[in-house]
Amino acid sequence: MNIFANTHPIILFLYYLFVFYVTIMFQHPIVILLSLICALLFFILLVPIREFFRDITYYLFVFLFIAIAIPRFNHRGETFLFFFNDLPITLEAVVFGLFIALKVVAFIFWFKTFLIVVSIDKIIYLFGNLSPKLAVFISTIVHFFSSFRRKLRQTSDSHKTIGLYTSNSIVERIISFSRVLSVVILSLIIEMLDRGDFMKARGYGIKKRTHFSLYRWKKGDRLRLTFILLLSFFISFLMLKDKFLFTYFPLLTSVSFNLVESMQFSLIFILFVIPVIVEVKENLHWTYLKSKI
Amino acid sequence: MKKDLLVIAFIVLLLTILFKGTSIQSVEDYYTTHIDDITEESETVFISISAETLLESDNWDLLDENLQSEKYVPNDGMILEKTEYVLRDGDTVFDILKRTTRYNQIHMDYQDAAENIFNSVYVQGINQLYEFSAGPLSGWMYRVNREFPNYGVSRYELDNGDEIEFIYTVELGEDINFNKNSEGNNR
Repeated sequence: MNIFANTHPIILFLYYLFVFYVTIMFQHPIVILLSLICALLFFILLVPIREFFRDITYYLFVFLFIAIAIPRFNHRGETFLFFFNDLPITLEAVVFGLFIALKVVAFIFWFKTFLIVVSIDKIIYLFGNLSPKLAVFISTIVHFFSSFRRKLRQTSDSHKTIGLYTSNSIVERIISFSRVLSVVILSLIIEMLDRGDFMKARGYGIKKRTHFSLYRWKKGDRLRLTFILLLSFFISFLMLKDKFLFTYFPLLTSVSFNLVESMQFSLIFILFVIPVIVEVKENLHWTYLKSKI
Repeated sequence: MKKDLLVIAFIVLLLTILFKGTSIQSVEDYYTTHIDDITEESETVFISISAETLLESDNWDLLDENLQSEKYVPNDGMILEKTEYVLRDGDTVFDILKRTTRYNQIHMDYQDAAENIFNSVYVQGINQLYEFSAGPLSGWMYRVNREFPNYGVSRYELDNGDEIEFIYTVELGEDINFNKNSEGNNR
């Protein structure tokens, strides 16, 4: 089920733009945690549970790699834990690395949901009139990412049928996999290069032509847009007032919870949790209607 | 399967090479050092670390807000007063700096000589004051006997009685009388 994707593309795009902005720019640990939790919740609603766990295990390694690498190279901070090659490994750098890694993982999962929710036809609809070249460019990139895994599976399956991938040895499996990977990347790049040509051959980008699209402003879309704009306005305003400031070096700022602060963070939480609420609500509604039959 | 074993052996070898040069010490272990006693025949040098430039109100405003405290910039600007240390044979400026900061338990961060193109250690920060902590032109510079050498700290070998000063600058040295053009002794 993907009901959130039925919202008007302009709203979706603005929403994702702001979510990406908040996730990347905000340093506060609570904001990063909220972002990660909501991204994971939304992602689990969009994909099969097996794929979810496979992705989680993969990004756990990405997380660990970043979290370990940062304190190795960053020695700022007052609280020394131990000395590594005569350079201090500090508590502040460890915490900083932890949250940077969480932030990267959160951004990746938001981007994964973006690829599912904002499909290529929506991007063409958004940018087609503005700049046809940009629209093709963005959709090609999105297509590259979203078709990568499908193409990988297809290629490895066909390699299996001709008798590769049969050895039990890990090394030979890795070699087979790297061969498949190079085939897939090459074919996708050729596809990308060709795309411009064949879109031109179809007459895409000529001024007189118009696009047909299914997207209409529905009842409630205007309300959603104002809600998201108001929310982003408030959050930007609070950010300019330095309300979400958190410094890691040279000493960690302490996180306190009073009424005003929790109000501020609940604003951020509302921003991140919108897609989850939409999805869950519609699912409940649908099961309710089904139960009546 | 033979190939697998070979690869595992190779990875183990790689890891041992990687971790062979590393040492992990607890904070107490690292800071319990003793310094050579000064005797009559020992050669000595003087070293001081100063962030005096930051005390001027203009420069103080440039400094990162989190560092605007007496803890990082002392009231008189001297992180380490001029002190005398024993010079061992072949000591460079960096050796002395490392030994003194370790002895006095001052935080110091550097980029190793192998990590940059200058083939010399680069001092990134002392006492939490880093390069770029006070504007884009700020950082640590050093001078020996009141002259700024034009090469890195770990390539300057010291002589008896030399006087080392580490000074924090906010204007690429212009605020501490560093003249770029006067130096011809690149190594």
